[in-house]
Order: sequence, then structure tokens, then C-alpha cells
Amino acid sequence: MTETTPELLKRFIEGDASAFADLVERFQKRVYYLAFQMLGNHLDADEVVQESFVRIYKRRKDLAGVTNFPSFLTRVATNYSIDLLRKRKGHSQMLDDSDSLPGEVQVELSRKVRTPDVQFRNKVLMEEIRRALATLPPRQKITALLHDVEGYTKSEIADILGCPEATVRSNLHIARKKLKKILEKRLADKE
Amino acid sequence: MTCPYTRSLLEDYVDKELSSAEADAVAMHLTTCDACRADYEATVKLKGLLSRRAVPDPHPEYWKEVSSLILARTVESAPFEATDRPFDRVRSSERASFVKSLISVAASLGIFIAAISFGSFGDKAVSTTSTLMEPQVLSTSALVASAHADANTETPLANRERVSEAMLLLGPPGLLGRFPEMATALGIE
Ligand SMILES: [Zn+2]
Repeated sequence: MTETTPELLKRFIEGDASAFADLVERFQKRVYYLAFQMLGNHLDADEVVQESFVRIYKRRKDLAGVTNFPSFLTRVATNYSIDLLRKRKGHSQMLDDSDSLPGEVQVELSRKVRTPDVQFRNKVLMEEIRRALATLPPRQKITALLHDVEGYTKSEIADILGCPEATVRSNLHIARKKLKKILEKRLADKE
Repeated sequence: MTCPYTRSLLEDYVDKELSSAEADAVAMHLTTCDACRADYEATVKLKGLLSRRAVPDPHPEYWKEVSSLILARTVESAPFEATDRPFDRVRSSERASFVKSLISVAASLGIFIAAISFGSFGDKAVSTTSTLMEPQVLSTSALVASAHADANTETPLANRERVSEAMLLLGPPGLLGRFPEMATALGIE
């Protein structure tokens, strides 16, 4: 039977290294995908995955009061991503732009469709979304991603980002407004 | 319900966070107002686009590799303390030595790939060489980036040549991985 996350966390805090390995395996993808969307490239996403889990490992003694591990992990990963994003800003505006999507890499969406033409159109669309997201300041961007992509509630996001829910609400509103403006033509498509 | 008031509730309506009375009122307004309905539809569509998650999957081996690196880094930086049960200590130290050898092999492979390819992977593989000597900053980049061919940085030709030279001098790539000081001596860092 699969262990629940709180059970794994408990064993990890008690000093069982294998429980930590299981937590890494269980949550690494979630961290990677979120970080990739924040930072726009594999190398930075990789760094976030590694750093987040290493930090959690080092702070394992403080984890006893953590009731929601996924949310705690997301907070650690989010903070690191925001730091990295700020650090990258000004430096070549990330590897993010244009050709960091290798040709042979399948975009998640494209699995659902068959013809190369549709695949190509989807790739273009993904690229448009990525570029639109890249224009947002870190806090607005992470808020939109956590809410609309990862499905966190506003109060969970407030907890993750350590800010009032009203701030989450307004950041989300501003982010959506900007994205709607940038993607205006795309959103008006009747497809 | 007025347009401004509808707009103020629109996102909560899309996120399904309104009371049923408010939601009914918004829905009613949307049937009669084209402008608000257009905004509503754009918001719904935006949410739909974002939820598709525009992220390419990494190389299939990546997940195992990054787990191994994380475990290696944690074991080296802060092993579980003496209060751990002996059973776990054995297991984690076994894991550590396994992971160390894995890293050595991975790094060697990275250098090997760099040395035989004409692409721009040289600098990444070389950076793996330096991470070998500095265990805090391990990186899966050499392996994964090489496999992905997503490197888009220019590599000084000299570095690639030096890696190739090292290959000639040292033979199989494993040697370089095992004796990082040789890499230093050769100026590959
Ligand atoms: Zn209206």
C-alpha cells in the first residue's frame, strides 16, 4: 500500500533517509514543471528542483509543524524561483527566449493531437503563452501560475507567498488583465 | 446589475467563488451584455490556455538522475545524526557510496559526450568536471543537456580541443572522472 505524504514526512523527520528519497520521487515533477514555467528553461528548473529538496533536507528539524508538505515545498521552490528570476533579469533575459524548446521535445499538449500541422500550431501557441508570461513581474507571474495552472486556492497562495489574500487577488487580477491584453488576438479566435 | 459591478465580480465568477445569488446575477447580466460577455469569454479562455501547462518534458532519464544528485548532496552536506536508527545509517551510507560512483560515471560520460560531439556541449561537460571537485554544486546539466541538445551557448574551441586532448592522453573517460586533479593539471575547468 502506498504511504501517505504525512506518513512519509513523519518518517523523514524521525531520521529515515529512505523516506526523504520517496518524497523527492513523489514531488520532483511538480517542482520541476512549476519552476520551468517560472524560469522558462531546463537548467534553471533543474537548479530549483535540486536546491528546494536540499534546503528541505537541511531544515528537516523545522518540519515537525508542517501540516501541508506539498504547500510547504511549493513555498520553498517558489521563493527560490523568484530569487533566481530576479537574478536572471538583466542577464540575457533568460535562456527563456525563442529556441530553448528543443525540436524533438514533445510539448505536453501535443500528445493529445495527431497531425503535424496541429502539433506545430500548438507549439506556436505554447511559445506565445510563455512569452506573455515572461513579461510579468515575478510575483504576478507566480500568482497566475499557482492559481490557474497548479490549481491552488487564493488562501493557499497567500500562505505560500506569505502575503495577504487581498494581495493575491489583486496580483492575479493584474496578471490576467495583462495576459488578456497581450494574447488578445489569440483569445478572440473562435477555435 | 451594472457593467462595472459585473466586471468586479467576473473573475470570482470564473473561479466559481461567488455565492449562488451573486453568480445568478452575473449570469443574467452576461446574457444581455455583449461587452461583459466578451470579457468573460476571454477570461475563461485564458484560464484554459494557462492550464495546459506549456512545459516540455525533460529527458526520461532526468528524474532518476536528479534524485540521485539530490540524495548525494544531502548525504554529503548533512548526514542524518547519530540518533538515527542503525538500520537507516547503513542504508544511507550504502546509498551515498552508490550515488558517488553514479556521479563519477555520469560526469565521465558527460565529458565523453562532449569530447566526441561537434556541438556546443563542451562547456557544460567541463563544468561538470569542476562540480566534481566541488560537491556542493552538482549539476545534471551535462548529461541531460547533452541528451537534449538544447545547449545554445558558444563554446570556445580551445576548451573542446583540450577535452579531446585529455581523451587522447588519458584514454577512457572514466579516468578523468576518477582523477579530477588530472583535469585541473590539464587546465580543463
Ligand atoms: Zn455589461
